[in-house]
Amino acid sequence: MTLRAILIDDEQPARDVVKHYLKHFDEIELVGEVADGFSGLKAIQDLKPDLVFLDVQMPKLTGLELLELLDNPPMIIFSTAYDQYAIKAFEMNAIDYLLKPYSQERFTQAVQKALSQAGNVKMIPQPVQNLVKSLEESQEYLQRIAVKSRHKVSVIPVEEIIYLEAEGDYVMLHTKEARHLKEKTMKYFESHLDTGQFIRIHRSYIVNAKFIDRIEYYDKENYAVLMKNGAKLRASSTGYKILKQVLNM
Amino acid sequence: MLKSQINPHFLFNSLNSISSLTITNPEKARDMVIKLSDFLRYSVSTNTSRFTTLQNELANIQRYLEIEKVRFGDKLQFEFILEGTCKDHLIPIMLLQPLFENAIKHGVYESIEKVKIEMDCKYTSGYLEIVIWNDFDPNAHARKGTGLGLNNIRERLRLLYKTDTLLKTSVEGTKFFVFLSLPNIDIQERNE
Repeated sequence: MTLRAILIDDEQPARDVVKHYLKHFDEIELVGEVADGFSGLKAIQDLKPDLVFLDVQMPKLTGLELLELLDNPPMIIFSTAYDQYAIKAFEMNAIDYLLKPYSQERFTQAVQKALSQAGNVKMIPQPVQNLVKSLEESQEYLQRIAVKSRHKVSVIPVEEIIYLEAEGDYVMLHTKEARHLKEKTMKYFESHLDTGQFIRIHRSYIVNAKFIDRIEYYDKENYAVLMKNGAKLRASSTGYKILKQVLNM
Repeated sequence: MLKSQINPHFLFNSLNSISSLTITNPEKARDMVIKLSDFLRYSVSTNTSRFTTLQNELANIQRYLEIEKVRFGDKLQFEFILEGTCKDHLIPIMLLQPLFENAIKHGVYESIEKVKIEMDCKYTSGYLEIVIWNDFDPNAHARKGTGLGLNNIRERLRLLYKTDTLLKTSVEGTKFFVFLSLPNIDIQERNE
């Protein structure tokens, strides 16, 4: 069995190491090598590889953002120089997560995992093992979100989101200019956005406090939050309590 | 603690470059180990209350940029212009380093185009005037910096020179500028 692989890393020396280590594997055919996230996305869509060696930190579109945009992601082996992203790679069911610099042995171990998984189609991807301890503290809030429409990928700074709205299995991100559908849960955004700025006012809404225009009495126990773009969103009684707390009302 | 810290990303990526060079170009690997060692020695051994010549500080920055250039190749360019006797002037040690780290972080890390970092230095009426500028991509939506680097420098300058107006920044199009005015320091007075 041969696996077709693509290598995505913005640093030439880092790519050289992977190519050198790959010489030990006749089973892996390197079909593409690119130096940034957008080219990587295109290469994956065009070449449909079985396996991708993916660097996390790259300009414009990080490896993690790239992976979020793939409908049927191939097997991914992440690499990065620093472990602050490990928790995200964990959430994304990567095959493995290599910390640079890594040895031939460690690399081989990761590739073996990919090979055995490819041989066993039914197998569900196993979360990455041996993750770093202090993940909770090192976890940063989301700063930007990569979304795609039919033919275009955009990266939206979270600052520009007015509110998020539940849409079945998706979440609609409302900005001043547009709306973007993202395949994630409200729970995901609730736990990854800065809760001092993004407030869950309802099962269906998370609002950016920066864009709240005013809060009006609706009926009985209910309040409505009016956003600066004119949207009028209902707050649940729990949501209203959180809102009061965060805004010091 | 105002002294600049070694960035773990920088350190681990540099080690990865060295690991790579041992395969492709062992001589260059050795060269990089020496540069990295010299850089680290300068960074950990310096006492922030000390002053050094601009020339000395720039030699360390040069090492830093050359190490980064192994990773980024032609994407990273740099050029320093020093007029007359500027290089002999005394400046607080490790003062400029965080400015170049910012230029790398916000310029080179976030861009797929070439990024040039430039510095220009002249001496006018008792002040050493240093300008550092770099290209950056205003549309990169990069993760925001904490501003810690610039704030640390402001704080150090305030403690050393007792004034708040020595550091300014500005953006012009796709270039980010930092302006520093450092009052002349009397070596005799410093060594007392």
